[in-house]
Amino acid sequence: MSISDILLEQVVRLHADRQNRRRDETEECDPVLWAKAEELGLPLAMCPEAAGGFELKWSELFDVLAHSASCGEPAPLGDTLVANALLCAAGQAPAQGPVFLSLPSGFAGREPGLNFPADARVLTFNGAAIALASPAGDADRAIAARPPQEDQLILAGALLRVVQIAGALQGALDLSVRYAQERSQFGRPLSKFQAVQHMLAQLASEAVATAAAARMACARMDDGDGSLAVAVAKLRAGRAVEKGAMLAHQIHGAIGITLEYPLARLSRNMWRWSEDFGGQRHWAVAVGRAGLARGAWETVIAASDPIGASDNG
Amino acid sequence: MSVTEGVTMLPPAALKLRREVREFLAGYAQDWTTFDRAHSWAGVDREFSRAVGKRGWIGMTWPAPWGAGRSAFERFVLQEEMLAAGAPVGLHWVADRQSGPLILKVGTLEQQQRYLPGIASGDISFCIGMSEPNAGSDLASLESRADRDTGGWRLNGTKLWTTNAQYCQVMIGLFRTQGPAREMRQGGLTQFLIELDCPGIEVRPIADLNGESHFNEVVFNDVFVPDERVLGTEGQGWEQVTSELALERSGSERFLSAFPLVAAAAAKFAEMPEARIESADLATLGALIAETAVLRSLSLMVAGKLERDEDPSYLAVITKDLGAELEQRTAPAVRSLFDMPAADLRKAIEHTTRAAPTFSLRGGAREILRGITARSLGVR
Repeated sequence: MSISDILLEQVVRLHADRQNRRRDETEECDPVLWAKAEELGLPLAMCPEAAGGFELKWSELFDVLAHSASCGEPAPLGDTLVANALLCAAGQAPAQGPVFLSLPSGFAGREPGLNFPADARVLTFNGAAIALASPAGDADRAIAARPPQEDQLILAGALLRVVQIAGALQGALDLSVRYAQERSQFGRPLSKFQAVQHMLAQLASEAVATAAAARMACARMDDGDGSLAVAVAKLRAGRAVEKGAMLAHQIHGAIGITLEYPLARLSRNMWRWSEDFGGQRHWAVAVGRAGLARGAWETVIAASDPIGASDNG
Repeated sequence: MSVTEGVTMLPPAALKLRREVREFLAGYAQDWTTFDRAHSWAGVDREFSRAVGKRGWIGMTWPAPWGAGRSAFERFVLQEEMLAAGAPVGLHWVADRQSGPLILKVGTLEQQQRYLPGIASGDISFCIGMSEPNAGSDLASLESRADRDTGGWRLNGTKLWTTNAQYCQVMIGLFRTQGPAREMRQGGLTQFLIELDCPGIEVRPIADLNGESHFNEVVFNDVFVPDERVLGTEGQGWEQVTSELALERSGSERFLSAFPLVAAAAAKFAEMPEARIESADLATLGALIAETAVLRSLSLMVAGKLERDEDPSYLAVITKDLGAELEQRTAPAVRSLFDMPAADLRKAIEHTTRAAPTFSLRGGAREILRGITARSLGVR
């Protein structure tokens, strides 16, 4: 069993243990779950061994990150993992405690007080380097040209959101399948209606397509050049959110929009994540530019060819 | 999350092959208009198919002596380069994809010797005789019969929507050898290798709304077929057809049919000064390219499963459903990029618009595919 398999098993158990507790549904960090995640060493999983981490790659963490998101991301596991990896890469010490990814305004990031607690610590770009900050001290800053470190933050943040959206869609699918089997109307379960079956099939297709795009982007990021694959995956994930969230809610009827039902948290997360680190227009223009520069077919191949296969003569 | 899987690396041989295929295609491509390319795998050109065969590129994954035993990934690269270039592959596509593999799997040595070399050389084309006037998506209700006769069988009935039958030498036809349909359903069906020059066969092309004839009606009037033309096991036709359909649904032709339009539009924009390009148009192009790339990733996962002899049907069905949806959105999206496209592109857009309804019909209607996916989810 590899270290990522062991972590996955523990993360699955951890989330299962905390699944049925009563909680404030707008809470952004379950303290008990967070404490256990720290015991497992999860926040440092992508950091080098010298910093106390496991040096895991994106592909190795795909299932862990996606699972946490499929459970509603009850604590900012993904954000902290990526923040610590970026801090370590920049030669800084990893953070103590949970961190949220943020960006200076001017680029789609998260707004303090709206997307995360006002007193949370965030990883952001302060104009010269990535840095930990409290959102209150985060000045409004227009960015002319982005230095490499900030590009890294955007790319890593976008990829994290793609993996999390893949997880959230799978979570929404699992809930929808279960609900359609349990809920009866007109004397039979919803799952026996062909119209409902086809909505479930479409939701599954969106989840599968997003997972495929996310895995490809993870592989390319691990291989050193993820920019085009991440752009493509973020775009595809955003489209899947548009379709997938609506399908899941349509299957659930009114119960799905109540704050206490778990779908609410999944869809709120998905909609927010598709805005983070570049919305649809941002990445669509980026892919379009690549298409003009290289040709449409070359761009398709460059974005989806498996690792090590960039030599297309 | 276990449906998708880690990314498999393309073998170096596949990358080398991509260069060879591009060099080969460069010798033909200058003669193809955008309108020609928009025909994609509906394009028909015997000389082209023979040239592809001569390179060893038809049946390339088959074991010796029929093929070169090359990998599913090499075939994947070959096929996608052909489709992206809009090459006229229609005459060898079906036999390479499913008829040949089926003959390899369940055919007799005599049948393999009789047909596989001709398929591989690009001389023999196959068509698929499944649908009938009263059996489309509900294939199990087919009524065409094969009745015992001395030394063989007598075929009667009608096959419908048979693609390219007018250019094909052989049909693999599904006939009822035990009836009737309402009692036997999937049972009692048998596949036959039918040479279309047999007496009693009439092939009638059906004009479509594009003014072309890709579909045919094939009428069987007391057609004699000897015993040695039974393909596989008598009565096992349904099982054989099901495995054949998995191959029919898994390839890149299920999302690249409209791609030549995207390539042409991107090429036109690349000629324009950047200041004249609106970002909304870049975004439209980018979205089409991105969705194509993701479907290619899915399709590569299917190829990986085929290479490892795993069942690809769940992923294949999803790829085809999403692929058809993208293909059907492509012509209007490309049209929206231009006030008035150049004549050749306009003609190609019109052709693809008119062909688009078939994208979600052929190889399994959208509703059938979604039913299969729902069954995989455990709700049917």
